[in-house]
Amino acid sequence: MKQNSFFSINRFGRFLSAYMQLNYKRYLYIIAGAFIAFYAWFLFFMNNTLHHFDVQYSFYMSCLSMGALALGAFVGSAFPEWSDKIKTGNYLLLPASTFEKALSQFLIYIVGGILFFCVIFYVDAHLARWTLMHTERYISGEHTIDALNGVMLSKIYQSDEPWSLILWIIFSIACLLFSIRLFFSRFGLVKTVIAVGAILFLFFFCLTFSSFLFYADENTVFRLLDLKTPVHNVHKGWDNVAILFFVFFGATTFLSLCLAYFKLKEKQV
Amino acid sequence: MIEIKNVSFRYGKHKPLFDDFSLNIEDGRIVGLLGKNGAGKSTLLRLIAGLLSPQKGELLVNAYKPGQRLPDYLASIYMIPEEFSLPPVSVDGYVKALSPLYPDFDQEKMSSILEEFELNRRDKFHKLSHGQRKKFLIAFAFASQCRLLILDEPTNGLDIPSKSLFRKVMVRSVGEQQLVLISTHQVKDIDTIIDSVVTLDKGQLVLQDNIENIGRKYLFETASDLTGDARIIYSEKSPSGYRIIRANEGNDETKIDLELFFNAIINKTIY
Repeated sequence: MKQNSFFSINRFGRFLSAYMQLNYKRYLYIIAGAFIAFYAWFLFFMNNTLHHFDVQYSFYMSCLSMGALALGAFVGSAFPEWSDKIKTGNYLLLPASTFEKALSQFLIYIVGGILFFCVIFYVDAHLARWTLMHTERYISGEHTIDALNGVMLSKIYQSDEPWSLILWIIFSIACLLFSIRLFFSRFGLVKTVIAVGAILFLFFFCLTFSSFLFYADENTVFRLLDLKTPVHNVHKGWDNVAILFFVFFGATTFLSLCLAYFKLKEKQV
Repeated sequence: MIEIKNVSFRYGKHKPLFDDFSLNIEDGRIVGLLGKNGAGKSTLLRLIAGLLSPQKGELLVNAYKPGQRLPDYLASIYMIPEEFSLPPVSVDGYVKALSPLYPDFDQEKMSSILEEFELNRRDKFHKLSHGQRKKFLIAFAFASQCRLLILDEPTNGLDIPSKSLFRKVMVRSVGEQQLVLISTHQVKDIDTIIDSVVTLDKGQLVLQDNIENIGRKYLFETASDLTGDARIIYSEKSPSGYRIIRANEGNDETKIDLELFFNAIINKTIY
């Protein structure tokens, strides 16, 4: 029976399984490396800088931001075959559709990356706290470390914007990193990060500039992302600025994924 | 079956490598693709595999457009490029991972060819020599039983016994419905196994003929001197005198010296 040329679940399963069997070591090393690096990071900074923060969730917030950069670097290294012409050729000739190839990378680098990041971050935060709580400094009760938990996570995020918008923006930036990666072969990660950084800077610059231009009375000094635009609540905490961000990053996600698909489809080596 | 009609292809803004190029190759053949460096052999193989797309014209392989890289098409071809790279796994790991992607893959054939090539399934690729890794790819290609096998310089890096083994394995492994395209500079390595020759020069098709016809048209002999024989079409000095090509005017048959024949074509003495 002739299988669907765009997507077949059986073929996709076989392809993903083959890809993972050939590359599992790479991902095991990355997971192990991330686990150790985050643990060391937490251990060092919990012991040395935690008490400089007024509230402990600010410490976790700064760790989360740094961790998000590491996650971004992982997503930006999708399509690892792209760094080498021979490997790119081998990859393109594997019997799977373009959509299946893009989807497999999406699942590994974006879905898998975010899931593993959350697990590693949470486990390492607890493990590092547990390790330090058994040292003399903490046994004596001189200092204490609050455990990372749901309540703290809700405190970490103190903006008025809805949570779903922040998650949407993170997902959108991940998609942007994922697709821009396909435009570069050598030093792909570095070039991808620079390109995505430039795109985001341009967006925020244009936004600030528009606000400065159209709401001159409210914006007397040009400061990046210091928007003083009229805010109208539209629906359950979603104001006009949140909706603008949602639409922009939604369009970015859609265009990024389309771009990734067609770039992969048209790739020639 | 490969059907190429009026294909044009160029790399970037370079001069076109192929301009209005046409070629037809039937299934069930082992075709030697010959040509000098830069003649366009590897590019043609990449176009046929689907790694490149022509800018003009039509290229069909078994009714598929290779440039679309449809999964059914990709499952029906296997290419061994001149330069290759293998992942850091074992022979067995690679076979277990990739063989399910090729519907006609024959595990028994794989085992028997690996045995002939003296390769162990537990061997890790990074511990194998270049030649051994190439032998593995050749074994995988034949075991895949794909309708089209594309071999770019398959004998590069093989030692002399392995080259001979390669020929034996190929003759035994290739089915009647398969088409094997072999591009090589080392024509002596394949002259006994191919049944058709395609020669390219500067992106042009110079010759396409089968071995039987070539044998019927020409005699390949050695001579101590060149005087007095008007039928000599091409000659080259050799340690024992001259290697010559003569027009075959009778029903004689000689073993085809493919290297000499290729040199004659390139020097425009024939065709």
